[in-house]
Amino acid sequence: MIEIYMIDYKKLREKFTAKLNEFDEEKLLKWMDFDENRKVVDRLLSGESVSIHYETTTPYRLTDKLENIDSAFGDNSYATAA
Amino acid sequence: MERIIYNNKEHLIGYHTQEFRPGNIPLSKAIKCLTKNAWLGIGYYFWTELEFAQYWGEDFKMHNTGFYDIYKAYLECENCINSVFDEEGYFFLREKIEETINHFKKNNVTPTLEQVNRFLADNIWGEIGVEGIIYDDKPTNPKKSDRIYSEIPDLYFKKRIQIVLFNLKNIHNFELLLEEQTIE
Repeated sequence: MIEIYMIDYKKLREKFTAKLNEFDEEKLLKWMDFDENRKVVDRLLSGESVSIHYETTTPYRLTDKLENIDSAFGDNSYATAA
Repeated sequence: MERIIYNNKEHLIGYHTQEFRPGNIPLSKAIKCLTKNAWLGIGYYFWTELEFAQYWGEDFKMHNTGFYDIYKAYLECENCINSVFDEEGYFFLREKIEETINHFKKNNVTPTLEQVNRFLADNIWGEIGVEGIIYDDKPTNPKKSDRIYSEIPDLYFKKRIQIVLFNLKNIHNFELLLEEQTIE
């Protein structure tokens, strides 16, 4: 027997609007950024040359926890064991 | 459109054009069209008529090797929006594209038509069970202005119908139909 399917557009309409409304300005902009990056990657993969701009910032130095522990225990580094 | 019964379901026959692959074995599956040409969203694109698949090959798919290949497949389209021959499908797609554009604008974002379609393919269609779109493309491709589509200029009486499927699972019996084609 041949199966015949029909799309229920009435149901689809409701689902569509509910799904679309999940995307507020922030989410839409996030997707636009994603799409733009994807376009660049696609052009690179297809052999085109692209111009990439990037910013440099001052490195943010994370505090080394071990240094703090060392100073807290003086020379007795074994105190930090266990 | 050509149809075939496969696995007890009606399938449409689609034609997929790619550049000839010298020395390579033929493709075993369709190639996903990425952002640049994926104007209905990222997915697998097919022509419903061999004639347009050949034009596509001649105009856009032979610049590296001078040849193109055409593959044929059975396309499972029961969950596709048919905006070409189904009145309800046409008005649904039209309404939803307009709704999406308005939603973007209401949220202070201005997208291009391609972005709207890619957004829908990425975020909405799959989520609500739409697996593809049957669409009547522009009557000509403006990037190849010397292609003659009609013996009577501007009387474009043939629809250039494309099918985009978002998932490989809906593509069956993908096989090479015409190999190493070129302009006669």
